[in-house]
Amino acid sequence: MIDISTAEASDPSNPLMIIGLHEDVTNADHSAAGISYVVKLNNHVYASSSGDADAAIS
Amino acid sequence: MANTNVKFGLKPIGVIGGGPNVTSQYFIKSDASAIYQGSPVEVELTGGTAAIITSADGDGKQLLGVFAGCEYVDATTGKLTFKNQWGGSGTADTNHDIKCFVYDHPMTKFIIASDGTNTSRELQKQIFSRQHNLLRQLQEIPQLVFLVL
Repeated sequence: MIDISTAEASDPSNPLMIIGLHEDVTNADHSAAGISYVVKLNNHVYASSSGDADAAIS
Repeated sequence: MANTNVKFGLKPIGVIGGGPNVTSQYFIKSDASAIYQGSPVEVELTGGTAAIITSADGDGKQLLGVFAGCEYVDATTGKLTFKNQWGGSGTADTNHDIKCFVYDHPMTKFIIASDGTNTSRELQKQIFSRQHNLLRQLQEIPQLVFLVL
C-alpha cells in the first residue's frame, strides 16, 4: 500500500509519484484507508542518470 | 461505506502517452527472497549478471519496475514452471536460467491502495495539477475524479 502520509512533491526521494485518483464505487470513502491512487515510479532506473555510466556527446 | 480494497501491490493500467502494458525479461537472483506479483523490484549486479531482487522498504535504491511473474525449472520436479510469484532460494534448479517478467517501462501507470486518509490540502492540489496535465489522454478521463476544496 502507498504510505499517503509521506506523499509530497517536495521530496523526490519517495519511490512513487501520485498522478491521479482511480474511481471505484466500492472504494470511494476518502475518510478511510483503501482509496486507489494512480502512480508512476518516481526514481526509475531507466529514467535517471544518477549512478549510471553515462556519456557526453562529442 | 467502508472501502473494500485490500493490499494488492501495484497493478499496471497503461503507459503515460498511450500504449499497452509490456514486460521485459530479466534473470532472478537465485538466492533472492520471495517476490510476489505487484511487488516493486530493483536490479543488482551479481558476478557480472544483472539480476532481480525484491525492493526493501526504505533502502533508497532506484526501482526497475514491478514484478509480473517468473519462469524456472522446479528444483523438486524438474519441470518447467510458470508462476506469478517467486518462492525464494531453493525454489529453482540453478542449472537452468531463472527468468522473470517485469513491467519496466519508466512511464507505466499503476494503481495502488492507500494506507490511510488523505487530509493534505497541498497534496490534493498537486494531484489535481498532475491530472490536469494528463487530460490529453482521453482514454483516462472516465477513470479520474478531481478533489477540489
